[in-house]
Amino acid sequence: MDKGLISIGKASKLLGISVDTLRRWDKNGKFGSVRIGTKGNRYYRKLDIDLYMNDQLAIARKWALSTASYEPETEHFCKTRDVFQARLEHFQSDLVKNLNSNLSSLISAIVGEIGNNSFDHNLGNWPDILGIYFSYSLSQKKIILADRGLGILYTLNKIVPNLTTHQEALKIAFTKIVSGRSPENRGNGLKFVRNVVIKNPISLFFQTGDASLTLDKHRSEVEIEKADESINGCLAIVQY
Amino acid sequence: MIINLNKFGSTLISRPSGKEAFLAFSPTLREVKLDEKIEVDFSGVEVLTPSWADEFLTSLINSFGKRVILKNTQNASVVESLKILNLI
Repeated sequence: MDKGLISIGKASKLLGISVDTLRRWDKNGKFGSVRIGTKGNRYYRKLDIDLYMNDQLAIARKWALSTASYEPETEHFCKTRDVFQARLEHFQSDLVKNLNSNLSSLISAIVGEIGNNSFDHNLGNWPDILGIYFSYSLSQKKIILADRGLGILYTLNKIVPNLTTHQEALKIAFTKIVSGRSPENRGNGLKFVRNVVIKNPISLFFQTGDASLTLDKHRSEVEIEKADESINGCLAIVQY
Repeated sequence: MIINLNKFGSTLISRPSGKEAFLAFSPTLREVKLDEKIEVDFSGVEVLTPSWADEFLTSLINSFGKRVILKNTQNASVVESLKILNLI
């Protein structure tokens, strides 16, 4: 068989999408398979799996950027924290089969921290759509998280009133223990994420508003860049 | 007393679930004697974040101080979470 083809079961694991959903998408033409053998078993091209993931990044960015409010497709949308927890546990159980347990637990921890940050800081204050976008590909070793929340500048402004730019806010979020939920003793989540990323074979792109940063083993300092387009809330891409 | 954290789950990530875990366990903590040590065992925990740990462990240490002993903390996410909370 063509080495570029993978079974529907493996495609399901790689994309974090159920076999039933893949079958349904094949039937309605949303994401087609290659049918092989007398039983017409479904297989997927590796290239299509990679392209699908690139599409997911585009979809997440579009959703975070859009001025129109709408809920993304349900397969990647976690409207509540419970849904996110369940999907993260599923992700972790698949990840640990492909990676050493230390690295998989660290990746799950930073994804969990970023995703839960969205819920913690927007509880009762979501501007339009409640919930987060959470998509991953085990073949591309990439995880995408996005929300249409208030963003870090607005959140930190409540306790650091002189902040005026997304760039300043993003730098503080990744370098200083300051919480947007003062007076509670919080604010170490993104510092934890940074500590883990720069010591392990993991990279992180993070954007809030028009400020972005990239961290990895070789880029341990927080250097903020100005993004071309401003997003609502936060967008994170984790690669390993 | 020994607290087996894996009885709260193996993926311990969110603040609300950490807070709920502490509140739910509080009646059991009332049984702890004045000089009794509390061993927190991390065996079986696959993923821990500082958010969950802060809600559960910080509350526990605020109540019992140095009587709290952390055991089997080898998991990498456990180590990093405890470090950022200055618990190790």
